[in-house]
Amino acid sequence: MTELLRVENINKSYVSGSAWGGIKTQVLKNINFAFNKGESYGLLGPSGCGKSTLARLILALEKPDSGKIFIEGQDIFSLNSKELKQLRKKVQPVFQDPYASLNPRMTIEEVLSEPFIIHEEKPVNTVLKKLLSQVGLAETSLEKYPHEFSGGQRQRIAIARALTLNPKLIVADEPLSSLDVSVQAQILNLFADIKEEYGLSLVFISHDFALSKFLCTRVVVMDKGTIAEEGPAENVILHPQSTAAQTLLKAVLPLGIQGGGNV
Amino acid sequence: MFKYILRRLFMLPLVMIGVTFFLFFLTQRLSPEMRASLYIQDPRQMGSLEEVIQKYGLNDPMPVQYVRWLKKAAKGDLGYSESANMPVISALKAYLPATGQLAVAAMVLVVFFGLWLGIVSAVKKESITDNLIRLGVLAGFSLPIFVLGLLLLMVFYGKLGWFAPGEYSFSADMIIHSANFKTYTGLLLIDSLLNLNFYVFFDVLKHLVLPAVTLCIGSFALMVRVMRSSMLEELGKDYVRSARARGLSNWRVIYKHAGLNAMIPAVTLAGIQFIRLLGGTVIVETVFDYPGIGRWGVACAQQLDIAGIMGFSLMVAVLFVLGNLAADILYTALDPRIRLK
Amino acid sequence: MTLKKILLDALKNKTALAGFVLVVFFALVALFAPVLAPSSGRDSYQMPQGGYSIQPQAPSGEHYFGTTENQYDLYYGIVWGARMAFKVGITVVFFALLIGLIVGGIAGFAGGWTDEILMRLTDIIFAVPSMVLAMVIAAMLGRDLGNMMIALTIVSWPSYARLVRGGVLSIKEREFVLAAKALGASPSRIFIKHIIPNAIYPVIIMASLDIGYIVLTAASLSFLGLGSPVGTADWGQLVALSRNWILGGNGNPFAYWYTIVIPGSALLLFVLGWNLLGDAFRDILDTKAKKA
Repeated sequence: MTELLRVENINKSYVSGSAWGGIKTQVLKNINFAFNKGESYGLLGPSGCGKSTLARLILALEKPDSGKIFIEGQDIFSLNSKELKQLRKKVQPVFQDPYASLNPRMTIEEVLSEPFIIHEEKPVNTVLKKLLSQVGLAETSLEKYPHEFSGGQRQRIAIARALTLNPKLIVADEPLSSLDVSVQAQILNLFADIKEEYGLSLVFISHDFALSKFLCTRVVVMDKGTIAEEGPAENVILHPQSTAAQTLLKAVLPLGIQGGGNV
Repeated sequence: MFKYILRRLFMLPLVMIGVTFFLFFLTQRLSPEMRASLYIQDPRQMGSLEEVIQKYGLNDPMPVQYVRWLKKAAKGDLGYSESANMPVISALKAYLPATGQLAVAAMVLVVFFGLWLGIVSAVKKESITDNLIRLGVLAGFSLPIFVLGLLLLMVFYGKLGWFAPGEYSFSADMIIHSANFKTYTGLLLIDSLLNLNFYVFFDVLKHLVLPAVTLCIGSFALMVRVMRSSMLEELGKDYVRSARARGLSNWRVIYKHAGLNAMIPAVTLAGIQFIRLLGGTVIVETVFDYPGIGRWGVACAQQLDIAGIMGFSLMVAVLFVLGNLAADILYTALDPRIRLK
Repeated sequence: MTLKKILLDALKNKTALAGFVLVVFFALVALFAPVLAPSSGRDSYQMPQGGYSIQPQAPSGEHYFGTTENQYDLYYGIVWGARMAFKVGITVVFFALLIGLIVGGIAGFAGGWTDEILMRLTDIIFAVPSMVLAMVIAAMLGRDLGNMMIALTIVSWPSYARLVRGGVLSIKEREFVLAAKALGASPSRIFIKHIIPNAIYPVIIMASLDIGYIVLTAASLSFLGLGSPVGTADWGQLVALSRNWILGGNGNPFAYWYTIVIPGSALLLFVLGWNLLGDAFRDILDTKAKKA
């Protein structure tokens, strides 16, 4: 079993205010976890606990103050730009806001071709169309612009984009939170489908336990920048030990859990 | 907050240097004899061209020249203004009060008409009066100030003879420059009152009306708008409705209660508008032959009076930056009450 | 929020419609200037002189709007002045926008010291009222139409730079930019393909609506004698030529009313049209921004 993702001693802080002096906030403190290929990780926690920051670090969109992240054994922050660009093929994002995750000025064809162009490959039309059908969209979508699609459809396009380079890991930051309840189930199922089809792993960030339980093998509960609890999904969700996890469970109405679990 | 002010004040000298450096750079395209005026105080003592070039290093590299000028300027020596026939510093001292007088007068008008028309416009919302006022205001804003000024001159001076260009008439001139008339502030309106000379006072007033009105019409558009929207907001508030229910007549309700509250953001804006007037004074003073720094500045530009241009620009920049800073401070200090569209 | 939708919304608004009509009217006059007022000389912008007497002539069959001081045909001046207004307005806005886009784009995208330095540069220009600065620059460059346009461009670009910078700063944080970064896109690709196309849109609209204001300032500069050379068809200059005649003659102060009223009205209507359009568009963009 090869290790897919390892997060080691990650610390991250932000300085708010102008360049002339501001307040330093510690967003992530000593984060450690790892999982293997084929597993999927749920990142749970209330807003402000640092989940999105962690996601950005895993995607190498930002650098930590200290600590390392390994993807398939590679220390992503010690790579040079060429190596980093290659590495990016392995880990791709799906973001929360479907209205902001697509460039309004680009057609869907351009959106899906871009990954290929960036990596100096020629985008093949049939491949693009296949991607679209994988996520449940019609071929005609290629000529259209993002504003012609609904939120759920845009999220599908975002997922298609994430799949273009055949990643090993998809980091999804609350991908369902901005969608209508009726659409959430569809997209959730889509995630499950592609997970199977492509054999990829997910880091699935959300504040909803049921979603995590459905998709993920292991779960991490975060609270104010630290890990409050970690373990197999079933255990953490049905028998939360830490106060953070318990509070979270009480506060959120689960989707699909029958009869209300005894907490 | 305090840090913000400090930072802005710190920026001030840097910005001044930036502005003057840029203008100095432009002056280099001109001949040495034109640039000589930057350094001398009296043209009669200039001597020959070669002497001048030697003495003031007019062919030295630009940064060297600039630093030399800067040092002199810091000591208050800004050279000699050919168009005014006096040292630049003296010209500034001589002309600034008149502009100040004009600006204040225009500001008073802007506030008065802005508040009044804004209130009327809000009270009669969507009526013909309202739309007329808004259109009129927009038209006033769209009409070039020099056209407006000339039209007013044509009607009120040419045809009716009520007002006149310039700052005062010939007869007043003699009084002002006689030994009996003491100069206290340099502002003739105030000085004439302090001298208890009402003839001069009304004379100056007579000459002030047209330029002030011209300046005012160009600027009060924003004032009316802000007052209108602020007033509309006040009128929509509960306390206004309850006052009406209690039977207070419309007049008292509107003007007393709502008006006073609505004025706050508008008056703050007035402070900001004040410095914007500076741009307009240049034109207005030229059209009405009004002896302020604006008219002098234009003359300097037209005659390429280099020392004058530099001195004028420096003065205007200082006033403008300080004015903006003061306005910003005022603005943020009154922040919670400001709800501008 | 496509352009088509905005335009359709705008036209429903009465003020926008009025403004639109005015602007289109002048645009047509400018476009058909060679037909409306055929020129015979090589430089069409030079107003023909009907004689050399100083005194203006009242409107007549020969000179529809009369003549100004030194016998320039007012009708010709107004018609070609419209063309001149568009020429100046569009040129200045175009170049100011270009510079503003580059400076603002780089400042917003690069951040850090580059941003600070570039913003201080805009501060320097903002330190002096635009009218005064334009006047001083135009004076020192020399009386010439090109120099006046340069002066106006220098004075105008900083506002656009600020706008672009603001837009870039907010777009930089949007998810589609992050997604491109995660794909491995180079900074230049992100800048050119993702940031700029989304940042320029509102700025272009704002800038084009500034044309009225630019023409107003240009007219003021011309009035002061700092713009185009003597005899050029320029509304500001026409007003300047009326200055000696506003007090009339022969006891009738309104004798030469046409020398000021006609060019003055042209300026008023032109600028008013743009201001009405500008107001309407600003209202629409505001409400759209609030809804979004």
